[in-house]
Amino acid sequence: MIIVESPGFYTTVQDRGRYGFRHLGVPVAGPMDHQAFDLANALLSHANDSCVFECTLIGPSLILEEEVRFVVTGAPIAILLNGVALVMNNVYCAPKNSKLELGKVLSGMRSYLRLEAELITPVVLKSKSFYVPITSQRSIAKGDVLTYTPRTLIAEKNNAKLRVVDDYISWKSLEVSPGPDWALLTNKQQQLLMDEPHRVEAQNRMGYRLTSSVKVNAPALLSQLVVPGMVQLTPGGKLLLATADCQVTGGYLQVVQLDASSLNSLVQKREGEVLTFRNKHR
Amino acid sequence: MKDYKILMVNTRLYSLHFSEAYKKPLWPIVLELKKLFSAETEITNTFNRINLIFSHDQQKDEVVATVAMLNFGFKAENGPTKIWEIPICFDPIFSNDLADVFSGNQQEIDVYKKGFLATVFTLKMYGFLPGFGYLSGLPKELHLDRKSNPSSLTPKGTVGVGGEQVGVYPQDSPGGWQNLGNCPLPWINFLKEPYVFVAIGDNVRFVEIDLATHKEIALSVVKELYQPNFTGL
Repeated sequence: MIIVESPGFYTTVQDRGRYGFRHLGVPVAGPMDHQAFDLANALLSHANDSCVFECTLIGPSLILEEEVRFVVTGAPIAILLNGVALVMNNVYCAPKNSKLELGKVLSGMRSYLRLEAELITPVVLKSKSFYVPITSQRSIAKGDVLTYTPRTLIAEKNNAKLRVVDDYISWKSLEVSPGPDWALLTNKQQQLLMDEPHRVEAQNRMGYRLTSSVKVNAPALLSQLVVPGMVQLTPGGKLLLATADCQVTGGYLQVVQLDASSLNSLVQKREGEVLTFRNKHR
Repeated sequence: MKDYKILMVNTRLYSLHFSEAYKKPLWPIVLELKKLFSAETEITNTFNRINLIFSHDQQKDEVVATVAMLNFGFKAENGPTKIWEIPICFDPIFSNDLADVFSGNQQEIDVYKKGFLATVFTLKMYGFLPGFGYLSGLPKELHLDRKSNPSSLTPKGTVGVGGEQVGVYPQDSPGGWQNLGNCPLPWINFLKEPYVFVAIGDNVRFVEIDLATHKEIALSVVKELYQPNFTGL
C-alpha cells in the first residue's frame, strides 16, 4: 500500500490518456509532459500499467509499505528516500516501509514519479487518468491509501542507462507551425505574434494563457476541434494554449500550433515566465 | 461534385471541411469513414468539419486517397427514427435568465417557452464538457445573445441557449449562455456503454415538467431506474 502523508501542491495519477472518447466531449487527459512520462516508462516498464504520479511544483510525501523500485523524471525535484537524497532519472529500490519524499520542484513545473508496480485505481472510459467528473478524484489527498501490485522484476542492479535529454525543460523559445486560421491574420499580425514576447499569465492542466498584443476583429466562428498543442487567439488578445485536459472544442481563432517537443517544454513553464515563438524549420 | 476540402492541420490531424452549400447531416459520413480507417483513428465531427485524429504520423496523399474511396451515394443506415423527450423544469428554484432577457414581461416569457417546447432539435455534436450536446434547430426568433459576462457557476442540468445553439450542462461549470430551466436527466454515464442515450444525429424535444416530477425523475435516476422517453418520428 501507499499512504499519502502529504499530497504535495497538486499531484495526479496519469496513464497515457483517455483516447477514443472525444466524440462525447471527453478530454484526452494523460501526462502534461509526454517526454518525461515516456522516459519514466522506459526506465521502469511494467507491462500492465503505465501510471505515474504527476507532481506539480511540490511533490508528495509517501509511505511505501512494500518493496518497490521507482524513478523520478521531468522537472528537477528534491528527492529523499528514508532521509537520503537521490538524483533524477535513476532507478532506485525502496525497501519495505520506506518514506519517499519529493520536495520542491527546483526548475520547471512538473515531475513524474513512476513505481514499478500496477497502481490499483479506478479505470473509467479505459483510463486511470484523473479528471473530474470522469474520475471522482481531482488530485491525491492527505491520508489517501493506494494499493499496488508487488513488483514483477527482481534486479540485482539496474544497469539500464538511457541518454537523458532534458534541456527542453528550460527552452525560452517554442517552435510553432501555422494553425488552421493562420491565414485569417494580416501579415503584420502574423509578424507581431512571432516577434513579440509572450508572458505566462495563468496555467493549469487544461491550458496556458499567454499575453499578446495582437488584436483581431475576427468573424464569429463555428466551434472546431481543439487538440493539445493548439494555440487559440481570443478577441481580447489572449493566447490560449491547449494542454492535456483541454476542452475538445473551441470557438476562437486557431492561429498556430506547438509541435510535441514544444508542448512538453511549455508545460514546464511557470506563471510569469516569458516565451517567444519561432517558426518550425521545414 | 466535391462538397469538402481536406485540411491538413498537422501530420496527425486532418479535417474534412464542408462548404456551406452542404446541408446534409455529417454523421452518416462519419460512420462511412470509420469503415475506411483503422480502429485507433478517432473520428469526430463539428458543425462543418469531420476530423480524423491519428495515433501516428500520416502522409497527406494517403489520407486523401483513402477519403476519396468514400462513396457519397451511400444510403444512410440507422437514421433517426425517434424523438427523445427531454424533461425541463422552469421552476424559479432553478437558474433562469428569461425574466432578465424579457425584462419581466410574463407574456413574452410564455410565448418564448411555448416556441421552445414546440421545437424539434437535432444533436450535432458533443463538445465543451463531457456529455455537453450541441442542439440545433432553434427558430431564429428564439435565438438569444450570449451573456456579455459569463457567470462563474452554471449548475448541472441547466438548459441553456447561446445564440442559435441549445445545450444541457452535464456538470457544474462556468457558462455564458442564457439559462431557461433544469433537466434532471444526466446526458452522459461514464460507467455504462453507450455512455450517452442521445446519439449524434438524433432528434430531441423538451417536455415541461413540474418541480415534483423533477424530484421524482432525479430520484429514479439515482436508483438507476429511469429510462428516457421517446416518440416515433
